[in-house]
Amino acid sequence: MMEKATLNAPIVFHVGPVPIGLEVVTTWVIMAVLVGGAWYGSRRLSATRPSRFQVILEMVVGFLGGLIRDVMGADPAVFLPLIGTLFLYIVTCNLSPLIPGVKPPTASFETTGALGLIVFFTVHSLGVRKRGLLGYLRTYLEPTVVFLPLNILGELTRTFALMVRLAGNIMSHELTIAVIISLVGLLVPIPFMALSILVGLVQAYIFTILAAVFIGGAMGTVEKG
Amino acid sequence: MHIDFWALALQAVNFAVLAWLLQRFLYHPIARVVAQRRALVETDLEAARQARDAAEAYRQGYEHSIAEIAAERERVMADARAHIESERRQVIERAGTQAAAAMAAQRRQLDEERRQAAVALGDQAVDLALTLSQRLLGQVGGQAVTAVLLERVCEHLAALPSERLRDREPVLQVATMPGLDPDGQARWRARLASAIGDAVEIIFVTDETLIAGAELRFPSLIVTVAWRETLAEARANLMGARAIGPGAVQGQHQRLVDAEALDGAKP
Amino acid sequence: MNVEMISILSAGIAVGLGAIGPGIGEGIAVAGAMDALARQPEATGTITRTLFVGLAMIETMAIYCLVIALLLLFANPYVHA
Repeated sequence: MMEKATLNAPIVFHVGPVPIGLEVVTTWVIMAVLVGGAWYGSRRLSATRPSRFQVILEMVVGFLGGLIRDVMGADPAVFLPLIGTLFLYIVTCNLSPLIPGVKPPTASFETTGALGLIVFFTVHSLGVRKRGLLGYLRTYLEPTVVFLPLNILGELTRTFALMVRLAGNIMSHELTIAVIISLVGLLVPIPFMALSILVGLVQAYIFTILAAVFIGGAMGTVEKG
Repeated sequence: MHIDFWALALQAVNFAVLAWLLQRFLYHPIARVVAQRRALVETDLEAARQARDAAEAYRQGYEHSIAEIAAERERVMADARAHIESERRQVIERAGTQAAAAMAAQRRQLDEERRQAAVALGDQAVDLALTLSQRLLGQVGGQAVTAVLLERVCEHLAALPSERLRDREPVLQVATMPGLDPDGQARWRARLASAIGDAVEIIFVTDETLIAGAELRFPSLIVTVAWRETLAEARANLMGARAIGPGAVQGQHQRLVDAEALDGAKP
Repeated sequence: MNVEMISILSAGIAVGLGAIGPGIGEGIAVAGAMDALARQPEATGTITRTLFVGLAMIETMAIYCLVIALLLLFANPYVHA
């Protein structure tokens, strides 16, 4: 009756046995853009006479550093590569559909799943490193032993929720805009696209904040989220 | 729907690579340049702080010198004030001394004038007395007065020890004023001879200076009863008198009139 | 009424009903945040950040419903084309 619809990104090509999906290719392009921009901006940094682009980069890095300091109460230099890169990557991905024909990588569960897993493993490895294995495991028994399954379930579900929230929001907005375009093609989708910008920024911010809160909670610097 | 685990792994790897690249190209350089700028700002701040400290020290030095100048001015003014004060005191003192000296001189002059006035008054009084006595003599009659006075001289002579006079004086000059007439002379010659002996040569003279009186002039002794002496005495008393009041003048006048009571022998 | 129709209906019901709870919850959260902002304007940063995190948490429920709906629509294991 109708063509089989799927949430999976189409496979672009294969490298040996490895299928390379569209989101992976888009991610490469986004990586290239981000690194290229960073390289361009940091080519000649000046402490006294910063270029306009350098000022923008410094503002972005300063914002991320302040976020890390505020939320985690930790040294920004240690967590900038993780938290900062999370934010920059997700923001770029969420805003990429503004370019016609581009499908955001964060709309796919594979991408957000990868990010969620990275956060998940970071949280637990940091927790073990900060409190020791036994000390970390003991946090699952708090406040009492009865809460052990609930704690484990909470750890899993909050990572799952992190993953699903981002992908679901972006994907649903993509679908919404696609449906509206299929109904009324002209002008009407524009407010929804503007809303998608807001949603993209907010979701990126939320993902970053939650990751920071989780990691901070694992380190004991903030209440466990 | 199925989960493409290849895509999941690839995305994870992609993210790790991206994080490393951004750390390499973005975070690290930015952090370095920020630290560099902070160091620069710190250096500038330090320099500014040093400059401010230097300015502060300079300002303190300036205020210190101002205070010194003020103290110096105060000291100089105090010196000048003290100098002026001492000079003023000296001037006042000198003026006071001069005024005192002038007053003393005035007082001395006044005293001198007063004394001279007194002397002149005394002279006038004596002159008046002389005039009065001469006029009085003229009215009373010289012979009678002379007789009375000679009488008194003889009384004095009699009071003297007789051996001092008798036969020891070769000559006796009897001075009178007014002069005696020849009758008088003869009578008195007889009386004197009875008193002092016949051997004595007796000479009668008239002496205006006696004013009114009699004087027995022996070579070694003079016996006088005369208004001249009384007047001279009164003059001397007048000269000695500092205050010349009406009462004093009155007193002198009485003594002048009462001349016979004050006469006496003068050895 | 075949499986496709039931799936489509279920998707609509899931999203529709699942949006009610989070909608009310988010309303309460935003009202509380406004109250806090009016009381303490100087704590704007902290309140806003906490509000976003809380909203994200609440929204997760709606997202779950959306995922269920999407699964029903696009990845229904009982529909074999």
